[in-house]
Parts: sequence; C-alpha cells; structure tokens
Amino acid sequence: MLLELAQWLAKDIRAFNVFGYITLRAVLACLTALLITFVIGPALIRRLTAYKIGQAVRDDGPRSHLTKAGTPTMGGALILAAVTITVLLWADLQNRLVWIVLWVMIGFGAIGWIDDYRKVIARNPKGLSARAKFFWQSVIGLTAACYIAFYSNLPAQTEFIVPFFKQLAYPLGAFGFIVMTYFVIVGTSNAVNLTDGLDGLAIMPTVMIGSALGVFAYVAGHAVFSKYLGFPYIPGAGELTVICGAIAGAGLAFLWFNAYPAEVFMGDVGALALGAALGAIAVIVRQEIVLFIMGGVFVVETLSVVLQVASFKLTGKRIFRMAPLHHHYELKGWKENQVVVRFWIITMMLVLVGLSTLKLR
Amino acid sequence: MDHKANDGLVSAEANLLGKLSHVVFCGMAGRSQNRLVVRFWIITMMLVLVGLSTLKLR
Repeated sequence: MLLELAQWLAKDIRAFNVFGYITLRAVLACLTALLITFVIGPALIRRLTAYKIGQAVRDDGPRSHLTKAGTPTMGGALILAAVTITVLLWADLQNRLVWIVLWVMIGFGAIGWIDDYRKVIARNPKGLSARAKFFWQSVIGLTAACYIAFYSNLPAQTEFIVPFFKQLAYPLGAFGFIVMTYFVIVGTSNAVNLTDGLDGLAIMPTVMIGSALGVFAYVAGHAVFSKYLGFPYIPGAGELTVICGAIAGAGLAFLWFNAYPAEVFMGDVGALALGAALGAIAVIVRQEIVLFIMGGVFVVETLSVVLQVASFKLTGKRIFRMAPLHHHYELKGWKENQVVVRFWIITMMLVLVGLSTLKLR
Repeated sequence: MDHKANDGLVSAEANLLGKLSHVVFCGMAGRSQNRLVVRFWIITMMLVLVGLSTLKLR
C-alpha cells in the first residue's frame, strides 16, 4: 500500500522514487515487522497468560522441561500478524508471487492455530488429528504448487536447479514440479515444527534462512544479477525479498521474548506457517537444494524422528536417547541454551555454504 | 604521584562503569543471563542492519 502511495507522491516529489527500490523496502519491512512485534508482543503475552493459554509439556520429555509447563503459547500468531501487516504495507500487491507466499503462510498458520486451539484452549490433548492436518496441508500445498506451475511463463521457472553446477538444470514438467513443490512446502513446514522444541531453537534458524533466501530472491528477480551469476531469471521474484525481510524482523523480535527462559512459545501456528513460507519462497526462486543445505538442522531433526521410529518398530531398539535430536543432546548433559546456540552456529555455517552457491558454480 | 593519579583514573572509570551497568541492567533485573545476552545480540543485529542500509541510503 505504501508503495502505491509513494509512487503517487513521486509524481510531484521525486524523492519518493526511493521507495521503488526493493532493497530499501526489504530493510524497512524488517524494521516495521520488528517494531510491530515489539509493540504488540508484551500485551499479547499478558493476554495469553491471563487466558491461561499455556503450553502442555510432554511427560516423557527431559525433566528440566517440566518448569516450562504453563508458559504462554500460540505466540506465532504475533509473527504471522506482523509479517502479514508488513507485507501489505511494503510489498508490491500487484505481484502474484507475494500472494502465493502469503496464502501458504496464512493457510498453514490457520492449520497450526486450529491444532493449538484444540490442544490448549479446548483441552483436547490430541488436537487436530494427524490425518486432518495432513489433508489440509496437502490442499494448501497443492493449490500453491498448481498455481505456480500453471502461471509460470518461462521454462526456467519449473526447472530443478542443481547448486554448484552452472549448466545443470533438469526440466521437471508440470507434474514433477507440482509434486516437488508440494513435498518441499509440506516437508519444510513439518521440519520446522519438529525443531521447535527448545527456547529459540526454531526461530533463529528461520531468521537466518529467511534472510539468505531474501538474497536469492533478489538475485533471481534481477535480470542483470541473475545473468551475471548464472541463475534463472524469475520476473517478480525480487519482491519476495520484502517478505524475507519481514520474516527476519518479526522473527528477531519474537526471539526477544522466546529466548531462554522463554516468555512465550510460537506453537504450531508459528512453526508450521514459517516453515511453509520458507518452502514456498525456496520453490519460487528455484533453490530447493540450497534450502535443504541451509536448513540442515531442520533436516537432521526430522531424520532423527524418522530413524528413531523406524528403528524402534523394526528392532525394538532406540538409536537416540530421545527424538527429536535436541532432546538427545539434552539427555547427554548439554544445557538447553548450549544445544540452542550450537544449533544456531551450525545453521550459520550452513547458511554460509548456501550463500556460497551464489558464486561457486 | 603518577601512580596515584593513575589509580584515581582507574577507580573513576570503574565507578562510571558501575553506574553505567546499573543504568543498562536495572531494567532487566531478575532476568536470566542468557536472555540478556540474546537480547544484546538482537540489538547488535538491528544496528548492523541499519549500518548496512547506509550502502543504499545516501
């Protein structure tokens, strides 16, 4: 909205043309989302506490987590509100890619909201059934995948890009693209949700990966840079940098309240939504493998659960002391904030490796 | 003489730092060390972002 206003004002005052730059709007989006979260955050936490919307802690988890029982949850709604308001303010609303990411993020957020609501407010420990959750995730993921596939103008927009190799790109075709997009969105969403088990563990990697994807979105949407770096040019993808900026700002401000010992948890409403948004952005800018590299912590956390369940069912033995992986390290004697900061450091390194694919190809 | 003057300088600095830290941390009384550290990191990240924005805003 502010972009349209700036464009209208720029007819008389040329200085307003500065708001046409995506980089500036991304920085402003980051600061706006940060400010919104800081302003609304304390009031929301007070409200959640007053309504006793507190997290239930798993009985079989580490004993140190029992003190977390009753900590307000569903704080992810704050991130979603901040990102949505910011994107509506600063992004180009004529851009359909912006709407696709918003649709995926809000859709997955709604699924998470219903799940959290049933668990925490309706006191139904099962929440939304796994089947219903998977069904609605599939509906939203497939809708987005079909929309991107059928409205892509250039073959490069549906090719599978292999990082580190300039000439390696596999045409997926509409069906292959839809299937892959679906798996990336739903997979990333659930991976972030599984990782969200310690204070600040999920949000900081989300901020780092979101920021890095912002760089990829900017390059993919810039005809000159994309040609220079050997990336497929995706018209309109640059606008996603604004969304990435908003995710980074809202995420950092949320971390202010979510740092150990957390005042609020994001809940499924935040984790599912942010994961899905990262997946959608990665698919649009054709960087699925780079997302896989940068989100290595999310991948390993998910694999730990898969391996633990498979091993227990097949052999009756557990591979890890507890899954997801962060609990394994806690039970090995690492302090909670040691696990969190070390996983952040690993993500920082992986994000650097991901960013190096900009040039190393 | 120099030694004494230096001592006075050090103690004055320490006094000032003590007062400063009181001003900085008094609003965070009762909060854990970890939360304090992470919040200072967040502030630094924001300041870095503002610094980086000067690349374009000129």
